[in-house]
Amino acid sequence: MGNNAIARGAIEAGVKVVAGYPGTPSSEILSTIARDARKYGMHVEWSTNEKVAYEVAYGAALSGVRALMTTKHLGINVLSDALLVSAYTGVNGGLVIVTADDIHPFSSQNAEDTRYYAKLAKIPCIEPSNVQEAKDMMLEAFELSEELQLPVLYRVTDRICHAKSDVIQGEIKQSDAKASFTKEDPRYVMIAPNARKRVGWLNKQIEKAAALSENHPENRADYAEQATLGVIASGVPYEHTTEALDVLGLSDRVSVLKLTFTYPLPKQKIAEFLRNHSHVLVAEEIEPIIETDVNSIAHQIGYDALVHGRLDGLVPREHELTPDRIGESIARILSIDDPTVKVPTYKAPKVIRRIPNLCAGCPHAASYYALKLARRKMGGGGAVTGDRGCYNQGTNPPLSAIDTCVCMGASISMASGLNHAGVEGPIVAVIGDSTFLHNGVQPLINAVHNKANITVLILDNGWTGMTGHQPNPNTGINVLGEEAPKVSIEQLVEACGVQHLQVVTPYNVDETVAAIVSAIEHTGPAVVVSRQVCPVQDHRIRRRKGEHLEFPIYTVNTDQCTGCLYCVNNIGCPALDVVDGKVSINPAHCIGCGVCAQICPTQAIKENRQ
Amino acid sequence: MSFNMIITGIGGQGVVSAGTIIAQAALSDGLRIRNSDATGLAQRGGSVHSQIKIGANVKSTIVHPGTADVILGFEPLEASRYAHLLKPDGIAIVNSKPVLPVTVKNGMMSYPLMDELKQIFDERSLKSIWVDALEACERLGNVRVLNSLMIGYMAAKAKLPIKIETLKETIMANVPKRTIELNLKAFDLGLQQGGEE
Repeated sequence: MGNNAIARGAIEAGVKVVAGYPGTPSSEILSTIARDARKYGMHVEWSTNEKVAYEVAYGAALSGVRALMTTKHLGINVLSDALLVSAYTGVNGGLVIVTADDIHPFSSQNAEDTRYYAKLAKIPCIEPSNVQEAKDMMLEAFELSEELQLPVLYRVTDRICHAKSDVIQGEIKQSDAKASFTKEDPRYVMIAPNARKRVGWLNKQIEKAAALSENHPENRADYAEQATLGVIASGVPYEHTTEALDVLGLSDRVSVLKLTFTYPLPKQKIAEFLRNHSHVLVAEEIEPIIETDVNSIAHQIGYDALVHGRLDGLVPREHELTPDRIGESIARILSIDDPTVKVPTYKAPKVIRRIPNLCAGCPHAASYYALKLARRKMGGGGAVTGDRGCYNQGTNPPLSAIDTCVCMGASISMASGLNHAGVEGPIVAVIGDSTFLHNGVQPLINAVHNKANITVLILDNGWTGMTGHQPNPNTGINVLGEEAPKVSIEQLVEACGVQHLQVVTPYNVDETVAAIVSAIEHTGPAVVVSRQVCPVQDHRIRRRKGEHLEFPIYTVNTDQCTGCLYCVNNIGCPALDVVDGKVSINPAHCIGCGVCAQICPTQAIKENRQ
Repeated sequence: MSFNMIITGIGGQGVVSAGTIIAQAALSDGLRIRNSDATGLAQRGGSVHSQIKIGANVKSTIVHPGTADVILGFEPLEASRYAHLLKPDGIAIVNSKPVLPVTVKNGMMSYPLMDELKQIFDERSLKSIWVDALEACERLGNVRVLNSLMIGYMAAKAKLPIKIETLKETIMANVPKRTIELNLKAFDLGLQQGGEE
């Protein structure tokens, strides 16, 4: 897997400190490195959020050792505060930030091009185009970081992170860098007078970077002899481009300029490439960043043909690129001058979309059911602000349980805003344990301080589930599998000043409904912790230990079942099937949580005791 | 030319494991591979697929439309969704037992008729074979060996550039120890059924 390759690259480069926060598609990088942490004397940690992780890695890099920070694209927004100032101080040991951009997006709130941050912070950007390169370029990224004393943005996308290929491994260099900290006034103290001195320094460094980019062997043009069209491609679209040319049999008619060191750009190489072609197409993901710069270079050199890409619509404006999408653009351009070139079209069949749900026996589904009932009891209205995690699947039908999902921690602050604005009815924020510790504590302190009348439902399943069950400070173990101090969510909530707190088990429906009702009735911020360990992870761990798992068996009495589908519509459990209009429970999926039995209006579902 | 295929299904059916087994087996046979999975919501009943390309000159990890030698469908709807990837002389091998989304169970959406799903291949003049693989797994006593059975079936029906022995060895190396025997049984049953028809 590409993420394994990136991890291997970092280990080969002798990385010493690694920190990150889980996020698809980045998560496996850090967990792969963690497996070898002891062997190579590395410190590896899941941090509470991306900003914390970045600052840990940055602090380490000041001491002269190599440090790595891993995140998905959204985490770059979180760490940007530290990033932009850290570029001013620079680093001593190499510091590489791997940003795994979910560009389509497949499992994120937005599709973001983090390469903008390289420009914004004025740090170099490396974009490998395949799995092998994702490993190989890592060593170079660390060396580049040390040469320029700047953090390096290592930008990959889903099709590298989760792609697999044969990879040739390199040697692991045991680093002999010793950590030491030397006071270096005024370099590390970014008060304004000192910061003013570093502005010019940073600009000089990025000029040096531009010279390196110009001569970089992986910023390379492959000229086709008869080419009128040249494609400028970076990252994964480079591989798609060469593939598309193979499939369409156009390899000898199109030149390709591969870009890997993409900020700063090799301007002279691009200028030369432009001069050699009457048409140029830019294939990049996902914003027209290179394309905009190519346009500006074209203007500077008086190139009068149009640069094609996302901006003029020759490449689709949104979403990831694929070989066929690039191939179609190439054929379209060639067909302008040569009508014999056919533009291929491929039609995907139109079939219904499969809507994902919460897993069988998911405690979140039970919490959502209780929340629905409690809100109804309290007269309805209001809003449920959601956060980021597995529980987002509760937005899909049949649950349709949350009304918003923006970013980590926003559930609590947005609930406060809705309340202060005067929205009537119960305002409930729903947030997971990992998310609460990521960025939810400050909004809760804020809600207390500013007297927001809201209910916060913390769905505590003990793991960072959505991204593949990583441990967090609420799990009791760390990324190495060692026991780690467990933060007390209750004490934390109380320390924030919350006056009304209850802890419930969501599998007990009545208890959970009552707790949420009581929290809504309370004036001021109230918290309900709905605690049940994620069954998927719990069962996995127990099976690994060799435990034989037996679940209570629930069955439906078909004489009593009226086929009202209340259970299917209100918990949407995948273990519930509908056969001839009546409900049946699939024993292969059911884990015996018993929630359906508790809510069945005709008590048709019973536990079968043996 | 490379050998291209896509395995499609839903979370929990072993799509990604099957992709890994085929990719690893190809590697063991000294072939070069590219493999790309879409698993965003694998555990939660969403669509999952794994694309595998085998050959000396593989580049992109994505199968170009019209170039797949095989679609290995673990679920009918999910197989038909990718029909446009199949090349004219390719073959789709599909487990005919549907897995219904909750939104179908409660009547919000309707699941296409099996004939409509077959039609998607027929109207493109593409060859598709529909087999009740789940029933065969149930006879073996465990639906979790669906992927081994389907790989076996494919090994009989398609011109896979991987040795049967290598596939078996890779299955053994990838499944939990206590299920090795059952998985090999499933593979052999698939191989046998695929060879008979």
